[in-house]
Amino acid sequence: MRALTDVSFDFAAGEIHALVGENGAGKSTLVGVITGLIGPDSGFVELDGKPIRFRNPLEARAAGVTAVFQDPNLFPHLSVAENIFTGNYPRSGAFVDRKAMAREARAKLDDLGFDLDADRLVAGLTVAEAQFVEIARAVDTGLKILILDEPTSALTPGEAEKLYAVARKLKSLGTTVVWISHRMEEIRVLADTITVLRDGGHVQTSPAAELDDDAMIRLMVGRSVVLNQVARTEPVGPPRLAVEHLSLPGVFDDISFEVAEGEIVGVAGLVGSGRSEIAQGIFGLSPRMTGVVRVGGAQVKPRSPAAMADHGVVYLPEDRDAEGVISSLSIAANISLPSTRRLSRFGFMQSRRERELASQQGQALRIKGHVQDPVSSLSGGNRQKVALARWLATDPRVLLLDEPTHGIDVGTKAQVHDIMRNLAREGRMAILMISSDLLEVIAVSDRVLVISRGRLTADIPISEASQERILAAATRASNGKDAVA
Amino acid sequence: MSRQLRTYSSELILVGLIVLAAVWSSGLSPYFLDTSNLLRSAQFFVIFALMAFGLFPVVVQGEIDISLASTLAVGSVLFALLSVRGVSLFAALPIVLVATAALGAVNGLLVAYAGLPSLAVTLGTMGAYRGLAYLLAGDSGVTGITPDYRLLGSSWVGIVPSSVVLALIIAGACALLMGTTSFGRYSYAIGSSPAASRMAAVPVNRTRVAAYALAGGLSGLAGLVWVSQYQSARGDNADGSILFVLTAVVLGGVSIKGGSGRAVGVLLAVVLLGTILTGMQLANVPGTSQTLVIGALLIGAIGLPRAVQLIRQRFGSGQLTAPAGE
Repeated sequence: MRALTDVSFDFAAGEIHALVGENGAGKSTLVGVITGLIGPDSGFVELDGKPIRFRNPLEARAAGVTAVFQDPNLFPHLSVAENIFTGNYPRSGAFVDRKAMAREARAKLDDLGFDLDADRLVAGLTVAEAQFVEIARAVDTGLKILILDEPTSALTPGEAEKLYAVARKLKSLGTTVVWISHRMEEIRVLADTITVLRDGGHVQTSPAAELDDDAMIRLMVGRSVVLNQVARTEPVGPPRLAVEHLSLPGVFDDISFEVAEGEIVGVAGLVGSGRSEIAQGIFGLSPRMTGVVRVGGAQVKPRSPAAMADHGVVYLPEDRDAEGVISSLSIAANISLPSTRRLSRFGFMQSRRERELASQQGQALRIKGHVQDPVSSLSGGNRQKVALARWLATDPRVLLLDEPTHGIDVGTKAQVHDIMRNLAREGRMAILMISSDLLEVIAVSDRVLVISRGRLTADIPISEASQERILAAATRASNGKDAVA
Repeated sequence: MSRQLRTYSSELILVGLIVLAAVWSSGLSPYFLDTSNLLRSAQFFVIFALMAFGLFPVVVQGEIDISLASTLAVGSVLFALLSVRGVSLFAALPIVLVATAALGAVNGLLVAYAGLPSLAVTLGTMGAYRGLAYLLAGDSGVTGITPDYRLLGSSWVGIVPSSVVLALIIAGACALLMGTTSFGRYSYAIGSSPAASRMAAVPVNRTRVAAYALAGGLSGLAGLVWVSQYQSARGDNADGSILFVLTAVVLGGVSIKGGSGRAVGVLLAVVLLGTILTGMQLANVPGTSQTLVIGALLIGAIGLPRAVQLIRQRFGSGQLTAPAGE
């Protein structure tokens, strides 16, 4: 698959350059290409007018190009100072000069305006503080380009302000700060230049002043692919899944919604907004979650996936290879795994019934390959069908689907959409579909929920849903309050 | 047919190695191939075999239990104590099996529900259970075992010692358990990917505890075999034998990372190790050197898959390991 096509633009020295785009627009891939994490098939990167190609992020760092990612990549059991100087400790003779290291680390932190004790262990730091350590590590003599990938996604407004100040300071020193973000309000206050990416392509680079929020959103969503939309005729039934005031501290807050029998509810939102975590919480994977979950009117306690599966609530995880299927086992073993108890008599599996179940599901979903083949021999689309088949074999009432068509080719994608419509309309299941593909959300859903920073910011009937409206809700800070704060 | 050959290739290799080891041993001593000698030697390895079949599901689930030899000691001492107090074997059997299964379940609870690393947990209980066995047995150990407890070690079914028959029955039960039951299915799934198994509504924690309890119970049964053969029990019974047991499991084709392996492989590996050890005894190799050989075999068995992988990477045939494309 092609993640990035023919992207060309310039970063000027001493500017804050915002890089925006939907999930999967190619921002992270672009950063990977620039810092040497990924080798481009063609094209080149120029630094100060000279063509360069970094073989790895270390080379990029040596040349003054550093990226700081969302998840701080630090050594938790070492001190702040040790992390800042990893790989190039100040030395006296053969020994690390600890005093000099602490002193220099303190100077560096003070310089950036971070109020942080250099002797503390990184393990005890907040996410924001850890991010500050990463930035302090990156800020070195000769730093030319600092790339920040979603730097404020886990920060409180106060912490974010600090980071803005650092970005401005670096800018004044002549460093180019590339700021990747989804938050309109921070792009507004920070960016000098904005580049919009879409579907791995470059859409537009223009001064921030010439691009208002509406125009930016329009550029981000303006896609040309058309997905089949099938008008529904059957009315939806009574509520099948209802959740009230679901909260998980630091992840999502006060989420309430219903999914009716025969209804497909799409869940849109940016990566990291808490969409998947809500579904996982309902499926019993977050014991700390508070709130009420009702299935068919009766309140249930999401203790474990096994308990929820007994209630007919099942979850198709996004990471299908690590969580959705067990690739070393056969197709039949994967499909029958959640039905093991039903397929056994006195604890013994009845292999004939198992084979029947597997081939029946395999035919229904048109899974390629023999039921005894290992799942690892299948393509991504067929693996996803196996992951779905094993749940359908348990005859569930509520399907929680997390990115069901992620990384699947277009043909299989349409098949999966048809399967979902069929399950809802003929099978009368209640389906909650999380997707980053707005076209898919609009094509398949009967109603769209939008999550932004752990809060439900919109509930849009399909007749009123548009990419612009969904994206606007997804990038909106809800009432200025932050669920993560 | 070729599919079957490939599926059982590791077992075929073991059979080949057993033949080689037997030829080598009979070259050392003309007595080796004597049938009654063979069967008498086999009796000696029943204790290890029972522990290995207990450890097997635990390793398939991707965990480990090194406390089994200590659990055996608790089991043998309990059997001996109940025997000298006049409790009949039929009453003692359930008592001891439940007690040793409970010791195993403690390991399982700590690993599954508390989420502690199994190596550390069972290292701790290895010491604790050993201490418990010493406490129960006292300094001089327990002697004066009644005849009913000795029957297993001194009777024959035809020309085969009863304890060997017991080991074969347990092997068959173990093969059935892992090959055809829901417990077996869950075990292979958990060993392949605990996260994905949990997502597939597999009762991961309960299955883990069950495997540890089974391992404890089988070690307790091995304790009965010990008492029947040696007619006494002490706190240091079977000390250090976990090396043999783990080597047998890994050599039997059970991946130390979990998710694969068959009971028949474990059985063959016990036979192979038994043949090698018996051969070394015939050749008057001292016990310390025997330990060295077993240790080397364990490292070899663990290292072999990695070595094969490295060789494949080095010399092409990359498509064997490359994942299928979209």
